[in-house]
Amino acid sequence: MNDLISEQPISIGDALSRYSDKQSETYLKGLEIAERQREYSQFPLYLRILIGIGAVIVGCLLLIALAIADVFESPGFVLLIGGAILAIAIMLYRQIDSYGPESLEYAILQQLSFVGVFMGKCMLVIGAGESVGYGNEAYATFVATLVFTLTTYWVYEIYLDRLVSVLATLFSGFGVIVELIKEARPYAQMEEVTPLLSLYGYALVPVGVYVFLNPRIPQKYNPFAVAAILMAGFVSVGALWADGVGTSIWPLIFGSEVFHWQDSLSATLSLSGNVIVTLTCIAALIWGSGGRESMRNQKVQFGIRIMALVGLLGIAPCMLGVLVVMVGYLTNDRLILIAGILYIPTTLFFATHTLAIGLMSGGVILVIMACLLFVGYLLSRSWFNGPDLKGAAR
Amino acid sequence: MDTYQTILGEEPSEPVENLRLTRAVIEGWLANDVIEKQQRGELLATLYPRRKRDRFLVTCWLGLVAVFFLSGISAMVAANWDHFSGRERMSGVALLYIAFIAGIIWKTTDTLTGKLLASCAGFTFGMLLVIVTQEYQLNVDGIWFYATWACGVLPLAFVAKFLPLWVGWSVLLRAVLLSFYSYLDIDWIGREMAGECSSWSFAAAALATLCIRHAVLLKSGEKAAWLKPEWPRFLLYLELHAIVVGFIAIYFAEFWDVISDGRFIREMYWYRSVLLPGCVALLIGIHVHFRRGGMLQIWYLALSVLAISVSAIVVVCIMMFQGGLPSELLVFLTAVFAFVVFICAVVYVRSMRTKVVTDEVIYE
Repeated sequence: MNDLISEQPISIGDALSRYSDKQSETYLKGLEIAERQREYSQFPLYLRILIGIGAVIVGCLLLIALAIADVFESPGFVLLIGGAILAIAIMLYRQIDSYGPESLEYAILQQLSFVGVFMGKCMLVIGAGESVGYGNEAYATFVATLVFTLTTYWVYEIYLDRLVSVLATLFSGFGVIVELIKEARPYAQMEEVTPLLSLYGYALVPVGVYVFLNPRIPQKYNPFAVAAILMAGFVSVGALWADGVGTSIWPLIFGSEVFHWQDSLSATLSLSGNVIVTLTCIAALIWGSGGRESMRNQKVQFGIRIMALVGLLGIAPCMLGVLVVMVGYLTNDRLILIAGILYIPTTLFFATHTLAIGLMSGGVILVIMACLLFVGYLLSRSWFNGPDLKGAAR
Repeated sequence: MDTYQTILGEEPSEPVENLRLTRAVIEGWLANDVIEKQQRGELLATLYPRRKRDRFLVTCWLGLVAVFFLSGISAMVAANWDHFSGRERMSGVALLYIAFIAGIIWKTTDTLTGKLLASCAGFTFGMLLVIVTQEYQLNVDGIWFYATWACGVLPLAFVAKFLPLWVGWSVLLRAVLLSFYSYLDIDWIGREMAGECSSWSFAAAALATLCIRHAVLLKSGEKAAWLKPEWPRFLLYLELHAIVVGFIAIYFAEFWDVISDGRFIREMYWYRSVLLPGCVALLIGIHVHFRRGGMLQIWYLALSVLAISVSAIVVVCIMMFQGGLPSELLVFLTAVFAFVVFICAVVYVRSMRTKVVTDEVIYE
């Protein structure tokens, strides 16, 4: 992998000096933009893990102390205290910069701030859940997580904190969607709800990929993008496992008697996952090949056709794995690439073990996907050894 | 931006000009009119050299074909499993095993393909064992099953010299050790003994593996370069620390209950009163060992400090709470203690890091 991705023959300075003088304004602007791309935390990961575990342990002990003191009996008070602790924690965090990173005050304020954020977040969620009536907990939890995410996202420049906060908000958002469906259709079975729910999950895929790939969107929104794709990954695999959602059920549409899917599974809803993922794959392929102009390239056109065929006839979560690999490769991001490579076998495990579509149906679809890809490879094999084709973008 | 580097968060020592060019930087330049579209194309062509790009595409493409096809076929075989006779099942899996072995001989274990084939052969050996035991209704104990599997994988692991396969074998060894003590699990006292014995055997296995790794690296040098990656070593130390901290908590709770005339335990096993200071000495000894290391050991040092901090907090919790429901003041005081412990831990690790970095600069 390193051989394929990380061995870059050119540095940022060399690349810039190809087109501008080292003293020129363009060169300096280019350096400034590159500097903005690397938002490394001031502390290495092992120190942040130590601080994080410390904050969680101290926060839990303080929450237990509050629980023993019967503070959690009055939800309004919990909300008030939670909000106040969160506000103080943010205030403390803003004060940290006035001390040197190696000073004792810095360490104390930082630790206090993290303990406060942990406690504040927990208390807001607990207080919000308890302060509303039965049946409305999902809405309250969602509002609480949304509030703390919006409050802390731009303050704490910590990748994992942002990722976890957004993920928690998205998870609680799904709870709200379930509640909404329950209210709209009180007697709906879970099998009817899952495809609708998974549709919202799949809708996060293009959003996440767009935010991750768009160079105009600042790097600080990358945790949001990764959380959206992670959420889509969880939901797609969960829906596939539970009800077979995301498998192309075209034989069902044509009235096949060989394949048996979950009776209540809606063909339109199941296929919509495939459509969303396939379209996003195609968009990423076009972006990665150099933009709209690259669509004149025969290789890109062929790639789009193959992707459309495999995506629409295949299993959506598997294609989501392919999409993540593609995004990782296009952005030179090893972690995303490895995550995609690991996600594909995970989806295959679920695809071959779900009883909702049956082993035979899942197996046949996977073999069809493999055959389509292999035929595509045989047709395009000579291109890998020949010169670039007409309409190449670069 | 590299997500891994962002999460890892080391302070960049290199000036930005010397960092490697990434696609995000190129797209950022285009979006901010630093370069033009044609120049972006040229830079992308440099970033993704055609030969490497095509090799990556072909590898991914054929990899997907293989993975989808094998998964599909295995699902279809599983769907029709009941239609196969016992002989067909066994011979099918045995043929698969032979095919993997033939593949290893063909590709040799010097290649990644050969190493992956060796891992597949190890897994298939386990499948074959399952089918044979099912077919002949051997009703074997867990220990015999896992021990036979581990013995079958061991030669492959030796030949392949592939770290993930060795990690898999270590997991199998843990399964053997766990099932070895299952005969003790008769009543709740026996269950406790079984848990204690298997945990100590895990710790011994981790320590032995670390020593063997160290000895092999010392003796063989570059020949054992495949053993050099740090992540399995870190996992072994993580396991060792988790077990030792667990034992400190359990043994100290027992010790404290005995000396404070508690309700639960009247007398402590003699060996536990020896092992308790032994565990503490082991934690401190490992920490001193890590302190001697350079920057490479900083992750281990942080792990060791975390283990010592958690042990200290657990010990104080046991002393404060004494097995009953504590008052809010006691819990608050424990939280303050934990806060102070972690502040000391962070300041200590930070100072070690600064010292190591400064030493390295002076050395250079």
